[in-house]
Amino acid sequence: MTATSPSAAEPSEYAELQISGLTAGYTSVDVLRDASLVVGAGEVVLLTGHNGAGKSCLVETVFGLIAPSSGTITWLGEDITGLSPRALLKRGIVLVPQGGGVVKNLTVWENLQLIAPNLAVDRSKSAKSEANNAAYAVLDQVPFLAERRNQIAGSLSGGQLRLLSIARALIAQPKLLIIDEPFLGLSGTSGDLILDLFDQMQQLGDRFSVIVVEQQLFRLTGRIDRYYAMNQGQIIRNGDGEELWSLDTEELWSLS
Amino acid sequence: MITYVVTVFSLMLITALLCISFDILAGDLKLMSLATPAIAGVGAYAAAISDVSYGLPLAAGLLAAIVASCIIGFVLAAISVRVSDVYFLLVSMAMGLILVTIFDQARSITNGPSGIAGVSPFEVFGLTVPQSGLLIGISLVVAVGLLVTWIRRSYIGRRWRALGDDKLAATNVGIDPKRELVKCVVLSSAVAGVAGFLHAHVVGIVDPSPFGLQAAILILALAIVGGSGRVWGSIAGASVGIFIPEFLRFVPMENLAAHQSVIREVIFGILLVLFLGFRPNGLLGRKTITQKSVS
Amino acid sequence: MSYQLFLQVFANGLFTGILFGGIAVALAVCNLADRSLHVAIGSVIALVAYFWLAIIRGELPVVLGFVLLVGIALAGNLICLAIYRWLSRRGVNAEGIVVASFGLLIAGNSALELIYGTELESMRAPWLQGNVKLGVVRFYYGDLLMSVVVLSMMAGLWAALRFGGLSLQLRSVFHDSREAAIAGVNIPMIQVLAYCFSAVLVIIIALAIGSRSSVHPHMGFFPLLIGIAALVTGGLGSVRSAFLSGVAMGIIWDFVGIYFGTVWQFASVFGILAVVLLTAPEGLFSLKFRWRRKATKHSV
Repeated sequence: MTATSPSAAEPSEYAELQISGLTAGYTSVDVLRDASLVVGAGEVVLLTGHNGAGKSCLVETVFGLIAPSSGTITWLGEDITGLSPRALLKRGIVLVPQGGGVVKNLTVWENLQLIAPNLAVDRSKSAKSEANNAAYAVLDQVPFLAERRNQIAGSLSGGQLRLLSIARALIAQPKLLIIDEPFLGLSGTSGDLILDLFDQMQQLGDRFSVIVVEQQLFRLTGRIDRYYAMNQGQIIRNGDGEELWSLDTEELWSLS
Repeated sequence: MITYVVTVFSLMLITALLCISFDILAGDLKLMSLATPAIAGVGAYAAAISDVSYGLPLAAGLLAAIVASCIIGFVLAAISVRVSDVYFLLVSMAMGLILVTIFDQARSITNGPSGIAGVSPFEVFGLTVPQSGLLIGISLVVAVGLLVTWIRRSYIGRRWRALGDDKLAATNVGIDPKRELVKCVVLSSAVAGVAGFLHAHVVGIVDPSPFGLQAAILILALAIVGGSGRVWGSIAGASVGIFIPEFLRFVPMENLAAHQSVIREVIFGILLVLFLGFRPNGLLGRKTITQKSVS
Repeated sequence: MSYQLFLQVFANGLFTGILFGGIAVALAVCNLADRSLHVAIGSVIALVAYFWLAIIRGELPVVLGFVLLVGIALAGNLICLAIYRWLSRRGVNAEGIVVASFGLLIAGNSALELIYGTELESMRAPWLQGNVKLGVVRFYYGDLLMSVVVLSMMAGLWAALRFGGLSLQLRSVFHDSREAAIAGVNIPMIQVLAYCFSAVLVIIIALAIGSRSSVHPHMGFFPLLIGIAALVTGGLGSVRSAFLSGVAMGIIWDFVGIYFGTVWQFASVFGILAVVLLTAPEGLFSLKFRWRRKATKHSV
């Protein structure tokens, strides 16, 4: 096990996303302190740690929901620190927040239409566009979305909600997908559905990069390229994906 | 000159009582009421009727004012309990409007828009009229202030602050939001009734005009600017609201002097917005825990 | 009641209802966009009414006056929006913003009182007061004009929202503004559009109210109260329900006026509000209410 200093992480390929020295908090107290990480093209990067370690804060700051007090975020060479979620979506960065990603009072279909406004049920009638093609690809993988399209999202089960939020994110054709705790509160079978959806979408287009925040590491066996572990707002260790499986989780998350 | 100062001071005391009444609901339970002046009006009419129509002594008038206001307050509470807190502002506004309409229309009782005149001024201990008014006003404010402060420091006050902070959590530890709401509204109405009593005797005539929505918004502005959560805050708001515009009387510009009550509303409307943005605790309000104090 | 009288009162009530509905919609779109209760709209209505007065009395040339009118209405609403957004960034919650709106309302009304005095001004013009009789019912030009404008605005709104995807964006902002932001909705733009739409409604509301009653600094209180009553009765979260409940209240208003006298008109509106608050507080036509009955699609 190699415990490297937080800022010395090296991706296996050219780094698409670079975060350095990020400091942020929800109020005037800093939750995230001087965090740095990189994500290479097509990589699946795991961000893990205790509750309250600052993982969600980090991804929310990247996505423009929180303004950092210091630090920079660079995407494909462009400084995107502090840009709005809308601007980031245009650049191909998509967030599925913890427990969310769905407007519960809208229907399933309306939630999808927020990302793909011209989405029509009848495919022959809808405009030919990349967005719609991606949308139909996702819909093929997740049939219940079309079946229950007029159902109010809030009345779906937990697993279905999660699938909807991820499906919606995938319809946005991400180049970088950030997911915060996709398996939170889900059973094994629901988790498998999510993984299947992932695999399909990765094969369909260009392989996109992923930052996945997760505590249930066993769900992601064999899928992680690199990992970062956080504790009390700082990144305390990182390394290759293979190392992960030989580590004890508590050891991984603790400071020593 | 002395008479003028004393009268202005008495007006400030009436306003202070109204601000305290408003703040009883707003400071702890975080409920804003736009019915405060209207409920005070009920008390004012009760005191006026007791004095003019029945010739009862002052103490009876005070009691009548408090009882009448509490009854109306109880009605307001009964309605509010059944709707969620967010609608309290609207419900109280509706109640205030209905009360003012009743003041206007129930001519047999309230004498309509002309009001009840001839309410006897205070004359105690051989002091002159304005000075008696001042003495009684100060005594009432002191008494009410002490009572309210004592209640705020007691377990009742803590329950109210718990409800105002986090209603769900407070309910889950056994605080009954409905009962506390009723208690709080009735106390607020009682204080409003005292204000009405003072108004009736100091001003001498009770008509519907000072009890409407405009007055309610002004009281809200003064209470918040003065500071929510503490009696001194309400007094500060009332002082600033009454005294500062009075200085305009001495300004050589004629227009300003004549329109000082209107100018007061412009100033305090704007101050309300500014204070909400920059200094939500007002001038002398209770300090709430801000994020900076968590280290 | 005779057949002719009934029809006339019903027609009047319909026009009154369209006016009330228009006020309710002006408040509803603002509420949908940022969850605020734009009480200060009362001051904007009064201010715009004074400009209408100046145009009708010939004190301002028509074209210039109208341009100023539109500018004032937009400026009034957008300044209020800017203040609400500023307060929100300073951490003030929704109720605090309503309180601030009340502050702006009295500041605005009192400022108008300082400028214009408290006299009641009447807005009389032949093109407003004239009327035409169709069958047994008399229609007033002013009413017809107002109705045409309000209804076409409603139709325009429906079309724009339906076909521009704005309906969905507006509703998503209302239901969950954080999720809407995450989904990439341009929330500031939605809010500005909503307040601009509201401002255009204010223009016609000011004319209608001013010509029906009179123009004075506090004339905004009355439409404000009606608008709030209609909005809450219909249920927050839907423009259509706000409009419908405004129309219903308008019809009731005119019938109550004939049967019981004008004094009871206000009381009837607030009586309905009280009954609705006590029995179905989410509103009669609201989204939440309908969800409980069946989980299906609804529209604005």
